[in-house]
Amino acid sequence: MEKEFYIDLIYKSFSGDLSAEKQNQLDNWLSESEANRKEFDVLKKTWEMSSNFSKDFEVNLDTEFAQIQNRIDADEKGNVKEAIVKTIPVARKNNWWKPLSVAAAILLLAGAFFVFNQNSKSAEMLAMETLDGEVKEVALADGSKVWLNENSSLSYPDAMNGDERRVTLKGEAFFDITKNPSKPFIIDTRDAEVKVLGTSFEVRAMDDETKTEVVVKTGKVSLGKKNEVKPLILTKNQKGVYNNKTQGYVRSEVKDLNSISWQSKTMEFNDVVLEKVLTDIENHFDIKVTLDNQDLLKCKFNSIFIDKDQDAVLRAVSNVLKMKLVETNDKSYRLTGGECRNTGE
Amino acid sequence: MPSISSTSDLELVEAIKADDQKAFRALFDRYYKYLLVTAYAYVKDDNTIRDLTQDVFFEIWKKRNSLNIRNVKAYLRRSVINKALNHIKAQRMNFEDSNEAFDVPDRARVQEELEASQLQKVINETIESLPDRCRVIFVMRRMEGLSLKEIATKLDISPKTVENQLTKAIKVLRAAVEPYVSGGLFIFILFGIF
Repeated sequence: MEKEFYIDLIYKSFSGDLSAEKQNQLDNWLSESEANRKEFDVLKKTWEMSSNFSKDFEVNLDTEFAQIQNRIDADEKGNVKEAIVKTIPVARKNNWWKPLSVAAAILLLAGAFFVFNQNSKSAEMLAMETLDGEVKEVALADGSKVWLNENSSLSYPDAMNGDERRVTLKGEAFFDITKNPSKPFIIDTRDAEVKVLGTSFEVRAMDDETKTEVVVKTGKVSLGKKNEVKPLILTKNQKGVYNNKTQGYVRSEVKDLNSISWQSKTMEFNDVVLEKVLTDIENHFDIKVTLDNQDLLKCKFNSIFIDKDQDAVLRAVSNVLKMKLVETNDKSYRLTGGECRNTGE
Repeated sequence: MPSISSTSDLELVEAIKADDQKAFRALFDRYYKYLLVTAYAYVKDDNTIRDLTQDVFFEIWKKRNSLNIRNVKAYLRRSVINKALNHIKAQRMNFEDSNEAFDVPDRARVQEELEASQLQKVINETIESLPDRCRVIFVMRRMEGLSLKEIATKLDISPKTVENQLTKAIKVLRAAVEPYVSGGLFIFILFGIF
């Protein structure tokens, strides 16, 4: 029983962090006997050897390379001819321009690789990156703001004097874009570009390598692969998907996102007070969330969650509002501390 | 270019950027097997890992003109791991902790060949035999050197789950090497020529 306890400490000392107190306890136990020390050495060596995992594979390099070669040939042929690009004709809505004062929410799922994009003018490209659990605010030269969520990167020009505003995103971000109809705002992802003619919107680019997905809440957005002649035009409550493997487009209608969150697995918050955000999260996951700091109830929150589990969603909310997340059990959580930079009006 | 086998990784990539198909093939020969093993630690399906690995090379060629690689091996490794993780996510593998029973291999398994390489083999096979979730988490920790928190974020699970799974993995490994410990060889390996 006693030994089990110390062996557990040894495991933990490899896989995680031991508190100084526990480390002391362990050290004392180790100095108690040769046998204890031996047990530690055995575990340590096993742990070390475990990083050399390998396996023998039967591989015929010629055959397997030929398979890649075939794919390349098919792909290159496809590009020369008409390809499989299907652009769905879109009836122009003449009132898309009206709700400029309203936020345009865009949901974007896109490629995993960070592509540096040259700006049309020779403005210098800057880059911002976030690590686990970090959220950073980026002020763009035109007055637009971007909140970069964790594990994301944004490259953007230090000046925006060309005839378009172009940035490159990997990861997820919330955009608040200064209105300027003569200079479209363009977000590049690995395979596609998203053009925005609205004001404020949300973009989320996930590490999915083949699809770019855009959901437009309000406003108007175009989605196309690089240099697409006939991009897909998306307006309010429309969803577009570009599949880089088949190079095809699909467009569909989306009803109110939150009302079908159970089915779409998507929750969207656009300047929503925390009180309502937590209620939605409780309903969606069937959990209980207790908020300690009642001052935050009216704090506004922006984000979109697609197919995220409760841990991820709550982590994101607590990160943004600098709260601490405590898991009471798997059905109830507690949020403590926190500060609000975005309250009231 | 001199003999292709003496060409450095970065020189190969430069040649690939200039549409050199021989260099592409050389890069494939150099890393295909290595990437299969890497992917296999995550996805234990022979056909899937071949698809994923071929995808990596296909994309290298397709976007050769815009490649910007500093460490070729690390880049390839990261690419195939990303693909493997995406595959795992697409399969909706359940990574959250539950109270499932966990099999510890039979301690009485007797090892005849008492050699260090044999010990490594036992460890390899034990890792391979871990349940999917446990194995993926373990591999991310041991092979990629990711922290508990990084693993938790990548798999969208709690750090607690990650820690539990790592503890389970090392327990299983410990049980698997037991015959070596009781046979006395382990101490020889520990302090001997290894």
